[in-house]
Amino acid sequence: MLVEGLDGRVAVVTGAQRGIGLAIVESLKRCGARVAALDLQPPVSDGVLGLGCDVRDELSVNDAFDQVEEKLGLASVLVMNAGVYPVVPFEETSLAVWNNTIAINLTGAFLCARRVLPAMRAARYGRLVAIGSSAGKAGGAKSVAAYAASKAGIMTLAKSIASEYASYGVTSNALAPALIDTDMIAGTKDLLAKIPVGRFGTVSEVADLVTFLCSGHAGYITGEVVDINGGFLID
Amino acid sequence: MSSEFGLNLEQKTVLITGAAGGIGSRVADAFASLGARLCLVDREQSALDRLAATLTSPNSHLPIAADLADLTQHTAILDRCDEEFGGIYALVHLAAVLRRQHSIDDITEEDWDTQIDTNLKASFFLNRAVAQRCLKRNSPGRLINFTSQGWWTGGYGGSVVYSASKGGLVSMTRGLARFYAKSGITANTISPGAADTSMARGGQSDDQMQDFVDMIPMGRMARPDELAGAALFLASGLAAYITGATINVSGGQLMY
Repeated sequence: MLVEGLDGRVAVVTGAQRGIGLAIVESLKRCGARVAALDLQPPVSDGVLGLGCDVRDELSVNDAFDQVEEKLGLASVLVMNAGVYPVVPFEETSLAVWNNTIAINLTGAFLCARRVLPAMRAARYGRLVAIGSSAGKAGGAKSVAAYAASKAGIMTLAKSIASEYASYGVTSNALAPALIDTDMIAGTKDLLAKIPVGRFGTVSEVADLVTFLCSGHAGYITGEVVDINGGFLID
Repeated sequence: MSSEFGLNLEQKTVLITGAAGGIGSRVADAFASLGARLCLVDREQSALDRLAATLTSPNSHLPIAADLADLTQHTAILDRCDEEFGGIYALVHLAAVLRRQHSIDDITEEDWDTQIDTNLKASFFLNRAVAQRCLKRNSPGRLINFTSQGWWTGGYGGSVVYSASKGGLVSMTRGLARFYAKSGITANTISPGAADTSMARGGQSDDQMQDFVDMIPMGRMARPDELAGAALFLASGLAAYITGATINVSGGQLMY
């Protein structure tokens, strides 16, 4: 028996080449979803539809979802995970870095969500999960203003969608992870001592939480930001 | 949920308080269906016995009638649980008293004491006792406390004391999360929105209930079983990195 609510569903995961995104792809696939993995270079994984997609680009997003619909069918799960994490002192943050961070982390989520929601509304079923960050709540433990602002944005975006689509059977939630062991946090290992549980989180732990939120067991959870941070930020 | 998803709650001992209530009984049902062994606590033995008879593997659970506001009863509950099952892995604590007065002016000192004693004071001593036993066995553990949307909103009028007790429960759980983090014991709260139970309907007219439902973006109250999923997930080994969190299960009513 598989987790309820995912078997046969079409799920789209952005930023799926590695790290948290790849783990989410594997978790949803294990639970029976038919998964499309989107990234700049098409991810290659057994039993997964890998598609090249630049989430900053409306045409690229629309093209990728066209292919998902043609090859797998209408998506009922969207995980908005694509993101970059530039660590730059605030005064040295160029407009280009700022714009690129907002474009990938926030505008990309907007474009993907806007593309899938009409079909979810019509089907009266959908699950959206945005990967936010504790930095989006507290500003970040490093110099990550653009990242933190973009993550605050995506978590609020998830709530806005939740409000607007609640009556259509679509749930929309976010995660606020902190200090998950990926390439992205290579420069933050000094923060280990500040994590109450005494270790970094794993990508599979984040993926499991995403899978739970996409399952039939989370049908009344919407507009919620779930912390997964080993006690790093208790707010 | 399933073994493929790795919840792995088979044969795990779970203490559920408020087990005979509208939400508690559905939480018990969900854990039992995954093979957990339950210690079921509520005030009436007959209600617990009736519940146990409906659960998966009815004879493998332990229904114990108790008044948790009487702290002296906690040790006996935990001792019996240890004897029968060899130690509690997870506490899912729902037991609470709601005394909804018409207005703040109607609230008595006795209302205050009754709700704070049961909902907050008893919660602390029970949580701590369960965690102490996990530590003694060098075992991971899960403390899962059910709060209420009132923890954040402050409630409406005469439910302010209940809300204050539930706000205290969230603060307390956060403190426990920090304190026990290094020991593999997580502490989290689940904040249910309006669930369609007799407790939620108590003292409310149909019009008042409809006004309440109209505030919920999903346009309906939760079925009590919809509140069980978050407890299953938090209790599982999958949620080891989640501690100090509050999960609102509110149909979108509570977003902050």
